[in-house]
Parts: sequence; C-alpha cells; structure tokens
Amino acid sequence: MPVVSTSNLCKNYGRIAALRGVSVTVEAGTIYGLLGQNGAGKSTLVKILLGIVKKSNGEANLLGAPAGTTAIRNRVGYLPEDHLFPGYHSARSLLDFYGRLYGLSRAERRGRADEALDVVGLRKRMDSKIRTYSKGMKQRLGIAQAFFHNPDVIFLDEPTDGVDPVGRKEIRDLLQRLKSEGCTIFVNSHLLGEVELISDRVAILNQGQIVREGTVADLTRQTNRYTIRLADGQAFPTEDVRALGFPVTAHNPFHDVEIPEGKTIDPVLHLLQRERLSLRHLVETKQTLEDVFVQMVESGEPGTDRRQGKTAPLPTAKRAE
Amino acid sequence: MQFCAILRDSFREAMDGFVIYVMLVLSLLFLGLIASLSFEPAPASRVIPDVLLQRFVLFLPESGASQIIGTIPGVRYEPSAIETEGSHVRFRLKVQGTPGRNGEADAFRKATAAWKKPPGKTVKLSAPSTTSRPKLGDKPLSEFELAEPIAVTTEEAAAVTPPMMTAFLENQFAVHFGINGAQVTPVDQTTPAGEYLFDVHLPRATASRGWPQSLGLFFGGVEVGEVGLGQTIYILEDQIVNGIGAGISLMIAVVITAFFIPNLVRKGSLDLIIAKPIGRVRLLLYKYLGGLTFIFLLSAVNFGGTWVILGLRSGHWDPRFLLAIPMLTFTFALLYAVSTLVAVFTRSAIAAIILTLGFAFVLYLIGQAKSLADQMRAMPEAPFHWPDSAYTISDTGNTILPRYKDLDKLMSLVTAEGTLTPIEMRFMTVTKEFPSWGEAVGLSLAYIAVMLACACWRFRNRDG
Ligand SMILES: Nc1ncnc2c1ncn2[C@@H]1O[C@H](COP(=O)(O)OP(=O)(O)OP(=O)(O)O)[C@@H](O)[C@H]1O
Ligand SMILES: [Mg+2]
Repeated sequence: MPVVSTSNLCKNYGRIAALRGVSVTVEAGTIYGLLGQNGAGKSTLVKILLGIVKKSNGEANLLGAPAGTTAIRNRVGYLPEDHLFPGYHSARSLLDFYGRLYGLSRAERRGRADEALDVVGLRKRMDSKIRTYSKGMKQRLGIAQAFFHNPDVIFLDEPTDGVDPVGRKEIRDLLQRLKSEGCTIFVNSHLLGEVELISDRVAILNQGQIVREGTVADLTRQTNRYTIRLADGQAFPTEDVRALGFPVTAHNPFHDVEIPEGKTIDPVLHLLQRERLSLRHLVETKQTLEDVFVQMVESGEPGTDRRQGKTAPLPTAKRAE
Repeated sequence: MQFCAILRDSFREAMDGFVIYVMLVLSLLFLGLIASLSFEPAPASRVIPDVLLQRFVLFLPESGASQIIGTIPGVRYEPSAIETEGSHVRFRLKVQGTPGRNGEADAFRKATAAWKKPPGKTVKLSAPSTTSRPKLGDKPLSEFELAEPIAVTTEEAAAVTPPMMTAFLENQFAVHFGINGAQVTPVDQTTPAGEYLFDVHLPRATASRGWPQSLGLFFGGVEVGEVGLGQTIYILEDQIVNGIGAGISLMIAVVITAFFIPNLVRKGSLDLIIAKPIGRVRLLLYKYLGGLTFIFLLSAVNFGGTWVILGLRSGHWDPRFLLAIPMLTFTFALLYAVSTLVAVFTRSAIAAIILTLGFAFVLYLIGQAKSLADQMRAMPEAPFHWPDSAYTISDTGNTILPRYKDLDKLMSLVTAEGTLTPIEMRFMTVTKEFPSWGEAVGLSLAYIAVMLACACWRFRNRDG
C-alpha cells in the first residue's frame, strides 16, 4: 500500500488554481522529492495531505486513510514552511507538549526529545526559550519535532532552509538514516542538488501540474550526448562531424556531440581514427537535475512572473545618481 | 491527556507576558490590604444596652419567619450585670411592658402574641441605608414593608406563657444580631405586673454578624469606624472584591486570554499544531476551556484568598461567598466566547480585546438602562420621562441579551445571605425582585453555546 497517493487532486484558492489535477504515489520506505518554482503548489499539496487545507477536488490518501483524518496524524511528522514556534517554549518543553499531543508516555517524551535534539545538534540550548534561537536553530528544532515521535512518514517543506552547509549534510545523513529505519520521507525543495543526492524518486510540479516524475536516474539520464576532448594542439573536425549528421557545440577544449535518434557515436570515433586524432576525453554526459528542472520550467509558463529563468534588468536610471 | 497538554501550554503562554504579573501584583497588594484589616469587638457593656436592645422595637412576625417587619411600642429592655467571657456574653434582662389599663394585657405580652401572628396590613417605607449608599442601577427607591401594629385580642395576650416569651427573646437575638443558640431563662423571682426578669446567655455573641466592631486599616493604623461585622464583610465582599475586584480581574483576564487563540491561528503556528493528531473543534474548545481554567484559578486565588484572610482576621466563616469563584468564571465564559469568536474570524488579539470589552460595556449599559427604566416607570409623577423608544430598547435589550447584571445581583444576594443578619436582609428589599437563576444562567449559556458553535464552524472550515 502506498504511503501517499493522490489522484487528480485540485485546489483552488478563490480564483487561484494552486493544484490542477495532481496524481502522485509515494511508496513506503522511500525518499520522495517534490520540486517546483515558487508558487508551483508544493506546499499546498503537503497541506492537503495533512488536513491543513481542504482539497477542492480529486482524491488524496495518506497511510491508507483519506487526507485530514485526525487519528492518522499520530504516525506523521511535519515540518511546515515559515513555521512559527511559540517563543515561550524551550525546545525541550515544546517537544514535551507535542509528545503529549501524540500521546507519548512521560518516559518516551523525555527520552525521545533529548535524543532528537541531540541528533539535530540543539542539545546544549534545549532549555533556552525558542525566541532566543537563530533561524537555523529553529529549523533544526523543526526537524527534530518532525521525527522525534517515530512517525511512519515525514513531510519536510524546505528542510534545509536557513541551515548552514555542515547542518545540511547532517540533515541529509539524518534523512538517510530515517529511511533506513523504514520511514518514508516526502521533501519539498528548491535545492535541486540536495534533492538529487537523497531522493529515490522526484516529481517536478509546475503551475499546479506534475510535468515530470520518476527516479533521479530516469530524469537525468541523457544517452544522446557525448563530450569529447582531443590531445593538445589537435583541431576538432567540426565540419566533418557535422557533415556526418551529428550536431556539434564547442566549449573549448571540449566539444559536445549530439547523437540523433537511431545513431551511435561509432561513426564519429571512426572519423577521428581515420584523421589520426588522439582522443583524451570521451564521456557520455548526464544532465544534472537542475538542467532538467530549468528545461522543464522554461518550456512551461513560470510560476510567478514571466521571467524565463532570467532576472529582469534592474532599474538603472535611479542607480546612476 | 491532550487537554492537559493544551492547558499547560496556555499557562506557559499566559505566564510569558507581563500582564499576568501586573495581575498577580495587584492581587497580592489587595490581599495584603485585606490582611491589614483589624476587627475589634465593641464592649458588651455598651453594645447590649445602646445597640442591641434598642433594636428590639422591631421584630419579625410569624415567629420570625415573616418577610415583613413589625414594630412593638411600649416595651423597655434593661440589662444589668453584663459579663463577657471570651466571645460569650451573659447578663440579666429586665423587660418592662407598660401595663394595660382596665386589666388589659401589658405591652410585652401583646408583643409576644403579635410576634406569633402573621403581619396583616402593611405600609411601605423607604429603607434606611443599612449597608451602603444605593448604587446607580440598584433600586434607590428601595422600599420595605412595615406591618401596621398587629391587633392582638385579650385572649391571645392572656394565652402567652413564659416559654413563648423566652422563645420570642431568643428569636430577637437571632434576628437582630444573628446570634444563634441564645439561652434565655426566666428568673424565679416575683416582679411587679408587666415586669419580667430573664437570665441571658449569648454564645459567640461578639463574633456574631450584627456585633459592632471597630474596624482598622493597616493593622489598626487608620481607624475606620464602628460597623456591624456582617455589614463590613458584606461591603468588602460584595462591592470591593466582587464588584471592583471582579471587574478588574475580568478586564485583565480578557486581555491576557485574548492572545491565546490569535496566536494559535497565526500563520506558521496553526500548521504546526493542526498537523498533530487533534481535531480542530477539539483544539479550539480545549483552548477555550484553557482560558476558563485560567480565570478560575485566578479567581480562586483572589476570592479564596480574601475569604480565608477575612475569616482569619474577623472570625467570620461563611462559605457562600466562595460561590463567587464559579460565578466569575461563568461571567468570563460569556466574555471569552465573544473573544474566541472574534479571534477565529479576525485572527487579531486587539480586535478580540476591543470587541469583548465593548460587548461587556454594552451589556453593562443595557443593565443600567433597564434598572433606570424600571425606576422611572415606578414613579409616574417623575419630573421627566424618557421617550417610549428608550424603554423599548432597554427592555428588549435586557430580554434578549445575556443577563450579566442579573448574575451580579444574584451574587450580591448570596453574599448578603452569608453575611447579613435576618433583619438587615429584610431591609435589603432589592432582594424582593431577584432575577431567576434559571433565566440568568440559561440565557448566558445559550449565548455561549451559539458563539462557540459559530467559532467552531468557522475554524473547521477554514483553510490553514
Ligand atoms: N492561503 C492562500 N490563499 C490564497 N492563495 C494561496 C494560499 N496559499 C497558497 N496560495 C497560492 O497557491 C499557489 C501555490 O502556493 P504554494 O504555497 O503551494 O507554493 P509553493 O510551491 O510551496 O511555493 P514556494 O516554493 O514559494 O514555497 C500560489 O500561487 C499561492 O499564491
Ligand atoms: Mg512552499
């Protein structure tokens, strides 16, 4: 049974269509990454699953129960975006409060809270008031409260937001560890590199619709492009290769050769051999998730303003003064 | 479990602000002031002849059960050999009833016979100010009914026996000073016609409700004056603690608790708590009850503290005043329902505070207007009259809005019953027109239910 399954899920906030027919399935024990531009609807999807926001249409199930079922949330952890923890709590008392809401016993609350705060590196400060915490500390606390009660599934909305590089690495390790303990993890993020590192499956949400979905390997594999470098001083026979029907792009000292449908790289290699050119570098290029992402969202309508991945020019007139 | 968690959380939140400390400091100052009160019973040698026995001219017919006060002219009471032992007082009482002419019974026999009879015809009089100056909104026309001299037949007067006389006198001590268990025994000694001798033992007399006590503030540093114990405590409990004190507590509590729900539904906090396994309606109701528990504890400290300290300082322990704790909580339940409703709709603590206090003020105004309207109606010859619409508004307002004022009046009655002597209660004729508990509580409960239902409905159906 999938942990999360939605079909044709729609959400309208008044006239804004935040989700337009989203169908995703997340299997137990995997890390699932949801990517998308600002305003794509990532947070909305998670909020529907947790019952924070009401769906407008379609189906959404979490752990086999309709989204929003109160009792099921015992087995769920959630780190919301823009969270605002009550400043009058300390990290420890907050986890104690949440532990009571989850129905944990006193011993469990104490043990797990201390352990979780230790894992996220807050143990030393766990008795100070949350209002004295830095942004990253609050984020770490947010992660601790999402997993301390041993949930079956964890939703993390921008988990590494505001966390330093070391902390990010720690969080990635933590997620891997939780996964290895059988926990299912659902991550919303803009940080593609990060998602790429940890996710088993990835979906790209654009304008409230899923535009790509699959394993990271599926999404980034690109069999039809090779990067070639010749020995120093040898010129790449660009025109000859093009004449064979292979488009070439040069970025010295490399040349990218695109392989059209149904062909292989072999004719190019034969040509180089015939011309007695020495090969120094031959790699089948993979795209990064970022390339895929940028490609996807550039082809669609962007989420916020129509920027096409470029920044709008700054208003220069004023700056000249 | 979840309820306790939310309760503890609300407490932590309340203790986080400075307002609660303002409240606690005010409470402490106030309790300290009460603790500095000193009560010194006036000497029996003065009180018995000059105060207590002077009042015996009034009595309550129907053996003390009547609501109407009767008078007995022509009887003189003279104490002698007054002894005080702790709070007990003993003395010999000479009663002189003017002997009747032509073999008619003497005035004391007639009085005893009249005491046993129903009051008959009555006249209305303005009440003397027994406890306090009438407040605006009370019935300043406070009238009480006085029985016209009760006709007693020769046979009835002749049938009076010594045990009836002692019962009459014992009842008088209870009626005027609240001294229960007075022992009056006829002295076996021949006396002239119309003259009677009794030995009187008044247990715990100087601690009784009616006994005058010289009241001092700041441990006797400031002399306030000599007032009956019960009246002093009544004024303290009713006007100061349950009047001003409760008003201030309610206001501060409205301010403190107004932040609970807006903070809960604030963007960023709501997502965190809703993702926990607790239903929305339950969450909101628990938060509401958390607010009530808060004021319950506050009023338990203030009222319970006042009660204990006053008891220790004065020796007067009557538990009825403690009803003020649930009463204040109930009044607050009404205000907090408004606050909750506003908070769920606006997410703003400031709006909740302003509208809740505004609501309380409107209820107060309507209550006052209603009392005034009632008075004006009772005075057809008043110098001016309101337009009819004013009567309609105040009457309708009073009928359909929760009876906040009524709860206050009822609490005054309960406090009075716990402090005043029977005859003082008869003078407090405001008591005659007391609203019914059922209506006062029922209507407020209905309002609370409707407002909470609206708040829950909105909270359940909102996004985020
Ligand atoms: N409470 C709301 N009321 C109205 N519109 C909303 C609300 N919440 C979200 N939206 C709209 O829904 C769309 C999706 O928002 P959502 O927060 O799901 O985006 P997101 O993918 O999480 O973006 P980000 O990366 O910036 O967090 C946006 O256009 C947003 O303006
Ligand atoms: Mg988001």
